[in-house]
Amino acid sequence: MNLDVNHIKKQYREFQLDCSIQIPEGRIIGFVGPNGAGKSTTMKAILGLCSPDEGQILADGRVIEEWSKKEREKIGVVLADSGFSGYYTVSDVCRIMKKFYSSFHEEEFRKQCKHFQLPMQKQIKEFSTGMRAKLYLLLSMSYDAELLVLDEPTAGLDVISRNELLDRIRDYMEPGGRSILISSHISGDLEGLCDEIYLIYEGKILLHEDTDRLLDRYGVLKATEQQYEKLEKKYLIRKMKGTYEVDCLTDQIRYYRENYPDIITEKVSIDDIIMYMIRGDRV
Amino acid sequence: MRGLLTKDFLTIKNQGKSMILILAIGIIMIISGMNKTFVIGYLTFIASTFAISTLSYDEYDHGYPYIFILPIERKEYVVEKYLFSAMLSIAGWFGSGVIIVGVSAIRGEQIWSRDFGLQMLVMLLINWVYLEFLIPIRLKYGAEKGKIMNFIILGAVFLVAMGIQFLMKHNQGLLDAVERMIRSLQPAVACILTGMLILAAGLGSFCCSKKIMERMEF
Amino acid sequence: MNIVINNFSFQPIYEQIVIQIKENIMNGTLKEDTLLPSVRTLAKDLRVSMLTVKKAYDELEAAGFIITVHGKGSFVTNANQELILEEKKKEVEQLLEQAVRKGRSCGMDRQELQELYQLILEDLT
Repeated sequence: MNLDVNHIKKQYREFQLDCSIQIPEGRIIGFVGPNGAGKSTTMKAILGLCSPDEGQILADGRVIEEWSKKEREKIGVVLADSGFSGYYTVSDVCRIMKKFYSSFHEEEFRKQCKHFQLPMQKQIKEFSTGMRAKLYLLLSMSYDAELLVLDEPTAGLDVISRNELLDRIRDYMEPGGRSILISSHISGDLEGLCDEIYLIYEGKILLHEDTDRLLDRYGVLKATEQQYEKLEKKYLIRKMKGTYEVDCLTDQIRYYRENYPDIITEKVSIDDIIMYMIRGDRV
Repeated sequence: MRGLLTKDFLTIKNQGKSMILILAIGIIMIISGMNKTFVIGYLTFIASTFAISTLSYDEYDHGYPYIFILPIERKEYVVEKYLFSAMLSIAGWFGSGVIIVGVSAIRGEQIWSRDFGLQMLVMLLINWVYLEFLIPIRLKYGAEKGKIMNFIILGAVFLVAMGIQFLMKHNQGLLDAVERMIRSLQPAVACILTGMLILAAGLGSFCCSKKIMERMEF
Repeated sequence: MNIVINNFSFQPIYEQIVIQIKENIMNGTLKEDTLLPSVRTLAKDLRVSMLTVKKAYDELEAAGFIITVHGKGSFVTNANQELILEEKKKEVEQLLEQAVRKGRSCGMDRQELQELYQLILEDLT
């Protein structure tokens, strides 16, 4: 499924959401940004939970408002703070899902629950954060959905569980014809998983890049004041003044490493890039 | 729809203990010989509250967003709630009726009278009118505010009833005219009229609920 | 096959993959007609994005080292002697370039560099 979010706009108190993203088939798209920047709203708009003031969301060329129920079965979701009633057990949830989704793979789902040690007869409200996260992720992947929309699916998980879930997400892409939109605060997770990253801040997309470009071509220059004066500014994106230095974010780190071998350069993580894009000054 | 019904039945099932308690109370009430009509009304009402409780469970702890990403239409959700409420209230009504008739038979009392049958019917209809008010209110205002709104509406209805009563007392002419009009109606016609009124209210209630859910954003 | 990625190196990850697969092919670890791991599998094992692996595979294919059959996967092509030689020559060129740059950055002039080069050549050959 190819999803196109075209300039959806929504007015909030302090800013306006104006967002366009593309989720092509076969890609894993990461969505990062501070809380309240518009990630959840965009995802909810895609899911039909809220309607934008303007703009369109198209799936395979068709507006999502026109979707049939059969087509809605192609979407798998993990929401940050919403789920089934806590009074259900996993068994109950199985029975419910069977009636909603024609392709629900019950045996496979039960097997996965067993593998992740999720008790079938315990009420969900007794689950730990980690167990809940695993349950909802497994559910979203249990009926051959072509598009997964995952809002902070690994929040609150310990590092081992996180990696297990990320592996499951990678496995899910195997059959092909699927795409994933995932938002997370844990940039490290996204670096090894996503093909593209969108950074959203105060409702606007500040950055959209292939992940490997972010990791390979972006970097930080740590220059002294004097070095900064003489620096070619063309490829600098942001700068942050420190006590003793000027730190600059660039998307052409190779250029600077080759032409200014004296200046200290560092690779950046996506967290660093977010910091610079939001808190740094434009150059 | 099947998914929604399964979901709601499972919610009710999880409240199994409360149901058994209510049932026990009901049986005690019947055996102790309380007014039969009252018992039927009571049990029907309790069955309805179980149905309405599914609304609370759905909404609780931000449950709505997850429900509405399931492959259902908003309208379908509303239809299922009305259907489910009707099913449960009829089950409670019919079930309590059967038990009462059974107990009467065992005791050798008179099993059936036209008056009794009419009263039973009235109980069901009152119950449905109650649901027709309650469902849209609950949907719009949620469980917390909904309960408050419930009181307000009941209060308003009470005031209107008092008002009418007051009017009647102090305007004998009006009272006579109304009484004449009611008496002039054939019982059958009165039934049909009442039935149509309740149906119309039901339709209105449904349309309100549908609009409320279709407009709701999360 | 052996591939180990250094996430902290400045060398782009897809480049590291390309170079290491090439090495594996050139030193015979990866034989002709071997099926390479799928993009998804390699991405999962190396913990990188699938796009990165795809770029690496695309480059390897463009350079003639592997061939992708739709529906089956990517296979190692005939270990073309000339290709391998070509690669090795390119590597030498890069290493020499690096040496010259380094020399420049510590102030060696052209003559010094040439003298040094002659010295080394004589020593080694």
